[in-house]
Amino acid sequence: MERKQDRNRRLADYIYNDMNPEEVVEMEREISHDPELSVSIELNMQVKDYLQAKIQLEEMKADPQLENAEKLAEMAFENASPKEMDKPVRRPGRKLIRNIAFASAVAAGITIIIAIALFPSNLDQDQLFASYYTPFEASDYSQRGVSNEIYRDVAVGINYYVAGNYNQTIDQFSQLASEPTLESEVQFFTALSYLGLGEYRSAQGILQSIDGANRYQAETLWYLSLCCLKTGEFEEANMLLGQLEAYDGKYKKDAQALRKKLRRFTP
Amino acid sequence: MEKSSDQHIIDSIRKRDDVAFKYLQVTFQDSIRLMVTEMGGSQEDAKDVFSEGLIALIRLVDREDFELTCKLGTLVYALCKKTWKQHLEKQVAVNNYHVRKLESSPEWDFTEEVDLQLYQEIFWESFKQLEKVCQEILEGYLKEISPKEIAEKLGYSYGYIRKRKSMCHGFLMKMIQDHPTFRKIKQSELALDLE
Repeated sequence: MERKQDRNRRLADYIYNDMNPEEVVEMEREISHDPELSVSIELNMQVKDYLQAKIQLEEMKADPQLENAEKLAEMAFENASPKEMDKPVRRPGRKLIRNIAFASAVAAGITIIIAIALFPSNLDQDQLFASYYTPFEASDYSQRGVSNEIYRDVAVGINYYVAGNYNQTIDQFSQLASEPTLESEVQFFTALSYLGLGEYRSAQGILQSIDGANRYQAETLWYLSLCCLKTGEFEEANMLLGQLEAYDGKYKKDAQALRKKLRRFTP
Repeated sequence: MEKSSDQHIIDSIRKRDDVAFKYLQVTFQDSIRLMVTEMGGSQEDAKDVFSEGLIALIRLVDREDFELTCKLGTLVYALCKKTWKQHLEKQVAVNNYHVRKLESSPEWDFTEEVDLQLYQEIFWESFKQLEKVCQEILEGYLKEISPKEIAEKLGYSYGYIRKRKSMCHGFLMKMIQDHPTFRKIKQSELALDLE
């Protein structure tokens, strides 16, 4: 009983970010090893995320300054006459577009998840994989602060990947394999290219060998979990997705949703 | 959110600083999504509304006569609400098309969206049934106010607030999980899983 109370207390501390980093690591280790706890966290997070948005929305609706905000909104749309709308707005950089695209992707992901849920009895791992797999959005990674020959070669490889030329990507990165500073990058893009070619076992093997400490940690976990899904190693996929709880953003949300779907395949 | 930080974000938007847009996305996207779905839109509509709302915000802050006279969050809300209303007006004009589109998409079903709405109603109803002090503590945490500040505001110690928060959250989750509609949906999900 006492143990259960302690666990519930820690669960609430975790949900509300009321833990120190060591406690967070310990909790996440427990989550990755305990499917029941993982399911519980998922519901708790869902409640928390909803309430957070709802409370903020209710505050916006009840804000005494709402009238001012509405006047400003009128102003924004007055300005946007059809002619004005055709005038180009100086748009934010590619990164913002990526952010909006990212937001769109999350929303699209949710729609896909909803669509998948409509026919749970017909689901299989291939459909699930197809719903979640999209090639890595790598275009921004081809730009480096330092311009030298090696980075130009990396950029060429990444541009091949972005264009979907996976065999050329593999060739290009194989030429960079001897560069120690690029080891994880070479492995990462090579693995993703095999994934793009449908060679899941090869992709899985390479992703598993990537050293944890690199700039693509969350991406490595995500694509590795998709490989495991495709190869039928559902428990391994579930564990990897659990590790993505530690990363904020797209992967965390997608991982939570995918874990929920994975329960259909695990005992 | 403090006014001064709102002004800082506005200045950053003018400079097209990506950090500002990331902030807007992280801070307001979920509540705007909720606004759209509460007003009958889909998740897909919500995505479009938020993107268009941000474009309207950029257009607005670029105006020389623009002056922020409200909270930034409230402005984002007003812009997105206006965007959604315009979208609805346009939708009326193409209503027949949508009807045809739905008819030709037999795979589409609203079951999951309905379930999500029911869940959300249960979450909110349960939250409103909590004791006032529980609501205040959880609300403080949900607004990401530091536990120390929550404790000071409510006149308790930090230790008490931390413990009480866990209890309140526990009550909330129990209320949700004991809710007859929640149980019913869960049972139907389980039945689907077993098929």
